[in-house]
Amino acid sequence: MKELVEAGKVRHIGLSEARPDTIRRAHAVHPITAVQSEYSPWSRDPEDGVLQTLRELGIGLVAYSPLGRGFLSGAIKSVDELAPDDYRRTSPWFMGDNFRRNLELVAVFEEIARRKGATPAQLALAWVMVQGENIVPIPGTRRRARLDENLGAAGVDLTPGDIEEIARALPRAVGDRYGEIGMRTLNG
Amino acid sequence: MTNGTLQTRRLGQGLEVGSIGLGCMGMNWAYGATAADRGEAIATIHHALDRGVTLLDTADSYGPHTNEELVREAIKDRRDQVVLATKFGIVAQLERYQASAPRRLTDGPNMQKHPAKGLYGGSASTISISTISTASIPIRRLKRQ
Repeated sequence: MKELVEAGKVRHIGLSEARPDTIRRAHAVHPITAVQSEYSPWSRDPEDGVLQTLRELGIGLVAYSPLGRGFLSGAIKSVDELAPDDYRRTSPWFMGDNFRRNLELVAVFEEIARRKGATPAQLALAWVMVQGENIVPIPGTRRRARLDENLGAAGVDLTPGDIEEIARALPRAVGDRYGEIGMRTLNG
Repeated sequence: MTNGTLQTRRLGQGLEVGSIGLGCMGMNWAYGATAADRGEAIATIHHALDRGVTLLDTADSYGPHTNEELVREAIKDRRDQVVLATKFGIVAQLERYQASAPRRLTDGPNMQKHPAKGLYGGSASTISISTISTASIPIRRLKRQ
């Protein structure tokens, strides 16, 4: 990848779902600009060493699935609403009893957002952004209205009290982030 | 906050981007999109750029390939406004994970092929290895092939 930069093919190098020692080894070969990993109020694996490593080395975090695969936006109330080929039907968070339990967590999150005068999507994004100045979330949407809603998160200010409340009220999502094979792709 | 532009944040040692990016994967893959969604998806990318979003995220494995092609169509006249992040080394097909032993990204033909070929060129697969590692390359102002 360093050679690709030197050849002018790319400007910056990133890694995805890499573990701290991999980030360090790569950064020693060529400066790493960003690491992209999943990070949201109920999926917080980067807090187990990755965020600390990134801060130390001056690397950014591109936070993917900051809305918890859409779940934390409050828009998904039933798996039946998802298209037959929607990948989330195969995600442990959305399967069987996990879905019901996670839906209860979403309801808690929605209530906190309501009291903050924000939408749950905005609360999730504001939460991700307040975790560090080096973090940029990349919520996905294919609708302009949702995009406007998401960008509204930039105007949501969270106090330390808000952060504590979310930490108290919202445990981790129930179930692994991916199926068995997908989980093996993490922390490489 | 439905108007106005975003503040920026810095990634690494000097890559400035809008403080919220746009994940493009679900625009035509994985999240139930149909062909009917394409127009609004591209309009959403344009609207994002109008609002100060600069970081667009895609990957060769999304589709595979077709997500990069959708992003290409959306940004072809606005390339200078975009910090384009793509990835290689992710093999989406389940059976590939099962059929091949994990290999290093630098093994085999992967590194010799352009990791983002799908953006500006051929439709042939650019990814031919399986790996348990993943890697991404934020690409900015990629030179046309």
